[in-house]
Amino acid sequence: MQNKPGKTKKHRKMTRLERNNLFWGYLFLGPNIIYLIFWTVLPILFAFLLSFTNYDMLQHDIMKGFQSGAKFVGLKNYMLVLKNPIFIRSVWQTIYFAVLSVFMTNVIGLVLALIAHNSKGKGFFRVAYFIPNITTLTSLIIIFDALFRPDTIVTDFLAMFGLPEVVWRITPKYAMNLAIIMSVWAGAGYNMLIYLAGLQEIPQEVYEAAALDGTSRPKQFFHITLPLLTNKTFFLFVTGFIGSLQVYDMVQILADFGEKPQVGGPDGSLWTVVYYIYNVGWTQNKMGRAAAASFILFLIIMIFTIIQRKLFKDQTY
Amino acid sequence: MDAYRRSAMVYKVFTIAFTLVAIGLAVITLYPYLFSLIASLRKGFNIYSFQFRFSDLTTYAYERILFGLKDYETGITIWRWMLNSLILSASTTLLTLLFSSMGGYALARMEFAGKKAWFAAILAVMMIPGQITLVPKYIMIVRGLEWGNSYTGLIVPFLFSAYYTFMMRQFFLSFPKELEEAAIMDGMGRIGIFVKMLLPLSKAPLLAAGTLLFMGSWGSYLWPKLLLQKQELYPISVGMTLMMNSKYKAAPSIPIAAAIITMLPLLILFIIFQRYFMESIANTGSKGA
Repeated sequence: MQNKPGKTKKHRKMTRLERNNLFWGYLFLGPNIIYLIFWTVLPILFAFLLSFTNYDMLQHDIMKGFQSGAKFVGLKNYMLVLKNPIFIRSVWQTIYFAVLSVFMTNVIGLVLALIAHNSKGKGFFRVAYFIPNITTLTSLIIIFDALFRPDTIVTDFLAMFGLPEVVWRITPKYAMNLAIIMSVWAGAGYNMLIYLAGLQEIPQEVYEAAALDGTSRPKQFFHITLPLLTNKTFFLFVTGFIGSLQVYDMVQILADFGEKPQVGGPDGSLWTVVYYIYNVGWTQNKMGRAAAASFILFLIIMIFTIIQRKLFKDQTY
Repeated sequence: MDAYRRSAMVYKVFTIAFTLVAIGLAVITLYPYLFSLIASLRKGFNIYSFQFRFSDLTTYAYERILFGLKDYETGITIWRWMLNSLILSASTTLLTLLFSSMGGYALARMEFAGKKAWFAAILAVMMIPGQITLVPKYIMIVRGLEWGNSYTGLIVPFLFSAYYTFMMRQFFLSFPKELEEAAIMDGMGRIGIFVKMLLPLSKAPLLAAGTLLFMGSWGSYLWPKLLLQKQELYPISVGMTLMMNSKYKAAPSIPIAAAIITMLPLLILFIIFQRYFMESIANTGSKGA
């Protein structure tokens, strides 16, 4: 380093403190940097390479590289995945799940936040509304599977609206909706906390001024509260979609366990993209194809993020 | 006077309606717990309807799980799975906390070349969906490092969290600089400041992040399922799915009781630390957008 002519001057300028900082800075950030390189950047590059090969976990020894017989196959994996009817179905089902659960989690989260912000007994409501968030996924599924079957209070109540009393988990029409209900029930409390923080940042004077002008409560909500929460909503939508477009464990446990387990759920109604990736990669051992599918999902997630950026940018004041 | 009285009425009706909605929602969030508690205490097959007598309740399912039930082939009890979960979650949580707070401190308080680029990279990682590294990470762990079927493979690759590094950075930014400068004057080194000053003073965010990390790790399902073949190594989250299988069909109250036992440690953690972490999540969100 010191021999490079351009750097010498800079080096002399570097004080002892600066050099000290450089050393300690990299020492403290070191673990994160190592993880970032070895467990994030490297795997992504590796996955990209893999998605163009016919690598099969059982047939090829990955440690031997291309000597193992694995070959470059160009875009074949991508083509096969895109032509696969199960994959197409899982894309639509994933989007259905993501759109409904993100919207409902946000709307309900906002309602919960408004209550927890304004009502008496805030402390109680905050805890009561947040508790579902800490339910372990397997527990969540066992409990909701038990709730959404004939003769429970829930289905008795829903029967008043004409819904048939069935075991939701094994009924093709209802299985995915059960997953959505679970994720909203378990996720709304988190959104409530984020919205709550946003509500607390809005100065009370804004409302006082609006009230003096004779602005009604509902109008205040739509013209003051909601626009001032745009940042939070954006954050929750973007992270919500990134998370829910990758839904996997919930649908897989719903489909594969309990009475009448069936891969893909009843009549394939629980296929999602990551569930498909898992199935192709680990049941069929086609890792290359699984990697290709995961890049397609990455693209879908990117598109969702970009659309949201556009939509929310127009609304930011 | 009349108009005043009417608006007071409207206000009252509004308040009552608002309270009813608030309570109704609390019923929705809490009822499943009550439901599962009752169902887990019942006998026979029809445990889901609401008609039951208190005198019929029994702790049979709990006794079976905690003291009697063994997996038929391997003889594993739920205690083993609980212990596994505890080992996995505790070590992952502690190490991730350490790395996150170290990184957060460097990003918040030290000036060094390349800092901005690394910070940008960490933010970018928060946006990248985790599933994209699923296949390569699996191959790296199982084939490359041969860590399949071991806790090393479940712990070592998963100790970096962009989210909590970011959260700790936000916290350290708000930390008064003078305290640190005074400590440097006193001849305290960087490590001394970090260990003896910063960590003890960051109890709130550390407990918050720690609780959340622990809960996440306790419930994690995908990676343990991918990496572990031996049932005796399963954490409770995966072991539970075995309980849902037909073996335990004989008594439907057993899986429900198991569900309650699984989340009980988290409920306790939550009740102890809820104040800290509800605030800390809220703070991260506010700066995350």
